[in-house]
Amino acid sequence: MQEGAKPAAREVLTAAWPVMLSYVAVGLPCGVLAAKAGMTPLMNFVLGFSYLSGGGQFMMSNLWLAGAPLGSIIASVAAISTRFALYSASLAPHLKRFGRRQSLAIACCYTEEAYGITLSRLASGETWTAGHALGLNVCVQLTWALSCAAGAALGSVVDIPTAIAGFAMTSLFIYLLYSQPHTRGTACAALGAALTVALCKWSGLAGVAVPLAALVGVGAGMASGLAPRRRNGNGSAPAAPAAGGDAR
Amino acid sequence: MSTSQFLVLWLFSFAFILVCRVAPVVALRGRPLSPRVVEALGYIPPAAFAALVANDLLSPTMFDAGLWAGLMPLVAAGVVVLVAWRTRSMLWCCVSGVAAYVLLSLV
Repeated sequence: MQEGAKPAAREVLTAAWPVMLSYVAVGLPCGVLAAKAGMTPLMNFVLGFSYLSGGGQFMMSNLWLAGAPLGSIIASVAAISTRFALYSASLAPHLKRFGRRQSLAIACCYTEEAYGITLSRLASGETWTAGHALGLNVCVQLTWALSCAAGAALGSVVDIPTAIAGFAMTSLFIYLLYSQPHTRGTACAALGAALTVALCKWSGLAGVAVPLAALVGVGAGMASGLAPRRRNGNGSAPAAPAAGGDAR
Repeated sequence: MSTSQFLVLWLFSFAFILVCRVAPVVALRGRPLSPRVVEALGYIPPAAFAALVANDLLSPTMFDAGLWAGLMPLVAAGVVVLVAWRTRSMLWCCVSGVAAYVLLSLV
C-alpha cells in the first residue's frame, strides 16, 4: 500500500461516515418509492451511482407516480439540477491546484454533502488532495446507490404507503430550503416559486409547475435586488450555495 | 416504468446534470463569473426547493378528504422546519418528518 494511504483513507472515512449514515436513512425510502414507480433494484443502483442527484431521483419517482409526462419529468429534474452549475462554479477556483483530469473527475461525481466538505477543506487550506476528494465522493456515492437498491428490494416485498415514503423527500427538500442563506432575496425567490406552483396547479398546469416556478423564483429573487435595501445589506443574493447540501 | 422509459429518463437527465457539473469547471478555470450571473445562479436552489416543497404540499384536491387531511402534511412540514431550526441536521429532518407524518395521520 502506498505510504500515507492509510491515514488518508482514515481522514476520508472520518469526514464521510455521518454523510454515509444519513444516506442510508434517506436512500432506503428513495428506493422504496422508486420500486412503487416500477424501478428494479438494479435500475436504482445504476441511477444512484451515476445519476448524482438524490432530489432528482425522488422527484422522478413522485412525478411518475403522479402521471406526469416523460418530457415534463426530464424538464423538472433538469430545473432542480441546474444548481450543480453553481456548485461547480464555486468549486472551480479551488480546483486550480489539481490537474485538469482530477478536477473534472471531482466535478463529475461529487454529491452535495461531499461538495460542502471538499469546498470547506480546500477553502480553509487543510491538506485535502484530489485523492481525498475523489475517495470521499466514491464512498458516499456507493453508500447512496446501495441504499437505494436495498430500498427498492425492500419496497418490492413490503407494502410501505407511498405517501409516507414520499414525505421523506418532502422533509429533505424542506431541510434543503431551510439551509439556504436567510436573505430577503432568497425569501422572495422561495415565495415566488411556491406561489407559482400553487397558481399552476390550480389552473391545471401541474405538468410544468416545478420548472416554471423555479424560473419565476429566480426572477423574483433578482427583482428583489431592485428594491431599496436596508443599511445592513440583508437583501443581498447568496454568493454561493449553502454548504449544508442535499442528501444527494 | 418500462426499461426503455427508464433509459430515456436516465440518459437525458444524466447528460444534463453532467454538463451542469463539468461546464463551469472547464469554462471557469481561473476566470470569475459576472456578479449578475452569480446572483441568478444563487437563486436557483431556493427557488427550486421551494417549488418542490410546494408541489408536494399543495394540490387542488388537498381538502377533498376533509380539512384535517389537507392540513396534516402542512403541520408535519412545520415540524420539519422546527427540527431544521433546532438541529440543522438533514438526517433528523427526514426522520422527524416521516415520524410526524405517520403520527399525525393517526389523529
